[in-house]
Amino acid sequence: MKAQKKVILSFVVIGVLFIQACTKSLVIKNVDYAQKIESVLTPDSDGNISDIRYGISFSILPFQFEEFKDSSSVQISEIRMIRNNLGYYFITAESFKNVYVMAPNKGELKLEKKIQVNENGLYSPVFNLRVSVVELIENSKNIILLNEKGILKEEVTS
Amino acid sequence: MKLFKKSVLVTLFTLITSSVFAQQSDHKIKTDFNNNYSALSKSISLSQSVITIDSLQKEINKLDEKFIEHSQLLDNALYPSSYKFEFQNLIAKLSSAEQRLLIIENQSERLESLIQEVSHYKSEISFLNKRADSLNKVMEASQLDQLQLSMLIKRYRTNLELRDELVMSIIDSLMITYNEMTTNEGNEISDQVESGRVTGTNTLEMLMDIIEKNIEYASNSNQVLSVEDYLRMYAIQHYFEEVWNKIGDNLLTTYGGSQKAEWNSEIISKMRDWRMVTSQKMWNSVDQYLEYSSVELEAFDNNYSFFIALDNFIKDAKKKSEGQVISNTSYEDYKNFQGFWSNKIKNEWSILIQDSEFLTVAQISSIDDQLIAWESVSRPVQPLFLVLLVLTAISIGGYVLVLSKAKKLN
Repeated sequence: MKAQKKVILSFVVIGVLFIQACTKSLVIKNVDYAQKIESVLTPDSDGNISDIRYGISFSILPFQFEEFKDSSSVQISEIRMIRNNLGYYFITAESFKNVYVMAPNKGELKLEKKIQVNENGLYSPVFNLRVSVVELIENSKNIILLNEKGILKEEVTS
Repeated sequence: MKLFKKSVLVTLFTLITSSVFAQQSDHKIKTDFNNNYSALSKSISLSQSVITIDSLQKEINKLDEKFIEHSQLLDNALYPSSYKFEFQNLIAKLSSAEQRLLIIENQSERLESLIQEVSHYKSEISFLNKRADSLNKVMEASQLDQLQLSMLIKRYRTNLELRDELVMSIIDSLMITYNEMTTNEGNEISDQVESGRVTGTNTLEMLMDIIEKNIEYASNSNQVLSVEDYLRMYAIQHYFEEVWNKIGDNLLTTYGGSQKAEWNSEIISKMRDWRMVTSQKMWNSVDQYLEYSSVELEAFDNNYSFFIALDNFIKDAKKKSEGQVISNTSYEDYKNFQGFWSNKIKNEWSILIQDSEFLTVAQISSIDDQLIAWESVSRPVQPLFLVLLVLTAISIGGYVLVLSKAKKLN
């Protein structure tokens, strides 16, 4: 009887281990999503942009509405976008007050963080990728270091 | 934890201080590089002299010096190309432009010397034309005695010969210059001609003059010209047409300007007239010559009908000779024709015949074979051979008679 119980117990243990092994998904760590140079994209008449090199396209009208409360016509001439090493997209444009940190999801971009960078609206903004942060330069003077959580450092140079 | 904070602060400090010195957009660096690169690449494509190549090489070096510190960034931006590859491309393009310009400059030099040569030919031809015209007028007036007239005819023919040699030289010079020229080179030179950097006679005009003058000479030629003169005219026309077919497009590209099609159709039409006149005159003169030499051929007016007439003539003559064993007449006919064939066709006129394709090599060798067969059947039997034959027959007859008589006696 004892021997029978031992056999059943060992079958149960092996079965549990087998099921665990089968359900475990493949995960790769330390993936670098960084986009080394920002993309400067011009929206079409419907407000859609398409980045052929990095294979992404979406409408910028929701950002426009968020900034200017108007999405009736396309008012943005160029949108600037960069992706950090964790895979978040940083999006802004001329006259925007904010940088939008967007997380990619299944068929969508979800707002991770809205970072206010200039309450009067940005003038001539550009993105650079530096080691593990995104650098926002405004008007070739103001340097703001960002990550997906917000502003890390702000510096005004002469 | 403290160590981690320290390292983050150090990283941030480094980033900020580095940014203080270069608040530049990476995207701007990429765009600047692309703009500079495209401008330089365009300058290379549009370069028009070898001298500019040196300054463009310096520009390439400057571009490299300006962007070398961003080469890693540009490697990313230019992917799948790379910073190094783009520069290699630029240098290769510069080298190819230099080669192209060297060829064009060489072509331009050759063209200028050709134009000078052609101008010289043009004045020479004009001089010879005038002299030939006045000689022709004097001959037509026939106010001279026989000796003076024959001297005049000789001068006239020498004059025409010199003129034809000059025409051939021009055609050869044009052939050398334009035959290997590509359409691009033609266009480049055309630009130089149109911009006035290469000046001189318009070659198309000069060619048209040559054709018209040749038609005039061939049409107005009188009895003083020989078969050889007409054959030469025919050969020149043939060569001219052959060369035009090879270099005509390049000449039209270079000199035709906006009227390429008009020039082309005009030259082709004039060339056709020239061919008709020279062809008719040449075949008539050959016909007259053969008639004078007692070689009666069927009518002919082109290469093929002439060959057929010769072939039929020999076949008929051969057939006639087969029925004449002792007669000498057909052998005389053979010798007469053989004289014409070997002295004129294969000797005096051979170069002109070759140049003009008056008869092809295959046709000439076919007639040669026919002649060998004709000779063998037309050669008459020798009298000594006949005497020997009769003597042999008599001897055999005598021997048989003696034998039969001896048999009877026994």
